[in-house]
Amino acid sequence: MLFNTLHFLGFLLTVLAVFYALPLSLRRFWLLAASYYFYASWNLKFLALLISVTLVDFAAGLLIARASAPSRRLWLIASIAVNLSVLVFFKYFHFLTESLLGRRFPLEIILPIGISFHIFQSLSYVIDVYRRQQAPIRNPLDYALFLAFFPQLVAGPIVRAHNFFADLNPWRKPTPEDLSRGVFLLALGLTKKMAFADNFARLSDSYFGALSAHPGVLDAWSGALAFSLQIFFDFSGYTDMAIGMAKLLGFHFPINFRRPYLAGSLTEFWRRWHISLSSWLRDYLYIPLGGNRHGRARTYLNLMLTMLLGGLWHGASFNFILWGGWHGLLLAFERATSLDAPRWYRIPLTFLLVLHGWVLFRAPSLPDAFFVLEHLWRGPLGAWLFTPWQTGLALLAALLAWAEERFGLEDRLVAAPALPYALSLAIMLLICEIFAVTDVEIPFVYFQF
Amino acid sequence: MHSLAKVTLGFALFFAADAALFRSGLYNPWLEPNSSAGMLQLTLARALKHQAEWPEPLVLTLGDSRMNYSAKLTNAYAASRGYPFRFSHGGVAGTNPRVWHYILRELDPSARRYKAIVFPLDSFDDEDTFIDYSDYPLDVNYLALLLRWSDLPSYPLTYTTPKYAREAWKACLLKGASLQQDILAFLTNPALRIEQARVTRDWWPSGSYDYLEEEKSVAGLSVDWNTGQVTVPPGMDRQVLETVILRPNAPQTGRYGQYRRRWFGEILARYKNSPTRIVFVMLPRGPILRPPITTLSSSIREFARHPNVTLGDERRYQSLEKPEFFRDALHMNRAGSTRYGHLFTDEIAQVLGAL
Repeated sequence: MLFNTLHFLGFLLTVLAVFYALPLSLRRFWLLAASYYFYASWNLKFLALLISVTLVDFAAGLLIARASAPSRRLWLIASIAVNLSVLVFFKYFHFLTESLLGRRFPLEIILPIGISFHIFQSLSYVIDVYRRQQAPIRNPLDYALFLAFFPQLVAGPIVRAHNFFADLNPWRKPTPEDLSRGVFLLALGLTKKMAFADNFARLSDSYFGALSAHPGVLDAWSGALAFSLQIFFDFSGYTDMAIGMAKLLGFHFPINFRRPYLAGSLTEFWRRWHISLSSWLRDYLYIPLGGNRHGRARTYLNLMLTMLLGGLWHGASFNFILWGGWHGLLLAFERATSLDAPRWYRIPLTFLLVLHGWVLFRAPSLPDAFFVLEHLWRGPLGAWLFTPWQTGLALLAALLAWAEERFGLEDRLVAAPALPYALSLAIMLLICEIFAVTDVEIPFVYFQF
Repeated sequence: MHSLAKVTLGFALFFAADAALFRSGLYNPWLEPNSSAGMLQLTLARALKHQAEWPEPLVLTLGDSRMNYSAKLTNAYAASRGYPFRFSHGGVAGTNPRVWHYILRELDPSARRYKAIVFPLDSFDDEDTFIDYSDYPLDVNYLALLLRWSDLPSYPLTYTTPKYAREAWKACLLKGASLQQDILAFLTNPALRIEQARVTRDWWPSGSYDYLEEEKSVAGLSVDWNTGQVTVPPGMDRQVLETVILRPNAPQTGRYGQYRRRWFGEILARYKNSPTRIVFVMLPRGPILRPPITTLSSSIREFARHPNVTLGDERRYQSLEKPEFFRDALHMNRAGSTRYGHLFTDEIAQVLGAL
């Protein structure tokens, strides 16, 4: 059940209507039932796995809180081991056996949708309880809702337990500002996904799906740029919708994107891109590895390790590992050199570096990735694959990003009087109406993770 | 203002913008002229021009691509015989009774504008084919600009396939979404589209009125239905021949009869108390006649009970059902359409008491 379908619209309207019709005490049960229905609509078996992870980590949280020092650590390790085993089995089994043993076992493993997100979310809870930064949750249904809450279940943002439970206990009615922003973000996310991401997806799919038919330099730039735009609009569009839906239900998710392509460095890029993942990696991996507390060499190593694992988190392929390694290398280089250049120079340079990384991320295989990287800089001129209106959409996106960065457009419009707010909503819907890809369903990129 | 009111206003503005751009006629001049909606708009514009410029009583002809009766020659013939009416054509290739109903709603809102409305058909019997016209997806393309909010939910409910019904909802509710492919093609090369649309718009009213059919014929085409032996003249598309003439008979379920009763019924209901005469006439059925089959009903003959409905002579055009009067398996050539125009004009004059 994709967010951008009539099926989901019907589901969301039903959830909202019943949620507000029910007495307060029953609402969380309704949300849990709706979330489980949402997840089971992909595959009922996924639900069994989600419930198993829920039970394990709920129990782990209680056991860690009750146990004394040595046992606490054991329970934590047990929980992490179970979580990582689940993740490794479903996501990396074939990759590891093929890479390490050189053979593929005749085992059909279906990747449960969003598994990387909810495993990381659950792990963060258990670790926070261990660190005494989070009190253990005593109601299993509350914990189940924390993991299964449908707006963020399949592609984040990765919500921390203290944020979620602050909204759940006690639940507070959304303010008028929450409702205005919620609808605004839903419309914005839908427009980003259907009008922008899906159109760029068509272009990048046609390029990366037939590389030999596009040997030119301009083709390569078109394909790489199209994917850079697709993945941003796709993922940030999904996140906007998730945050918007959560707001309509009285929950406040952290921001996940802040105009990442306007970053002036790779370090800044990761403070603006998929913030809930990068902060998770920082808090639960980079800092525990030692962070920058053990000298330069160790810092670079930690950066590299964190980004390599971050790359692997995205999927079981050498492309993702290399993509993580590329970012790790650039982050380490930045830290080592601390270049001082004007921002107008650093922003396009950072974008170019990120774009090269996306080639590794998107290409069907490593040889394909190297083919594209080579053709970005060498080969016949080729053809610019964007149609004039697709170029127009890209320019419009750049203009809106600049306006958001400069003037905080979204906050202003959400807080604006009725007419500007309504006009902006109408314009988004009109863009979506005219440009949305509706003849095919293009899944969200991050659903595969 | 309450947040719900702000959101409602946003949606209201969105619908208003969609209406201002696509319901007001603002976009119409830039439609792809060769698209279904574009052809239909050009035809409507030509028919409205005739209403405004021709002082004589008008007889509106509808129909699909087979109704190619050389309008200019036919009107010249009518004038030469002193008939007190003139033909205006509102038919579009590929259309059928459902689309004709909406064309008439657009051209004749008062249901009194025309002296007569003529529907040329290839049969008065309701022969089911493998096409289910009640669930025919292309109709939405033709009607993209004619459907209104008030057609909800009745129009989409006439489709049984959910996908087609969704498109129908879209066409009634949001014109921009319904015209999306046309708009994106326009945005891909606006200058080219504007020029194409201008050239076609300038040419169409007189060009289509003056148009004369091709002279080529399928003379030599023959089918021996006993042996299955087919003789195809050089240059004729055998596939079209097989699709049209040699097609297998579909099971006769009465579906087409229901469809005709539904949509001609709508038209007859609109003209119930109108002075406009509704005339059903025959078209020459083709260069080769298929063996007759037994159908379940003849809705057209049932319509003859209505006081303002007249049925034409079913055998009147049999002399034209020969390969030399056709350019392919379906369409008359210049000789056929010219002769048809004369015979047809005399028949309408007879119906209207002018002969």
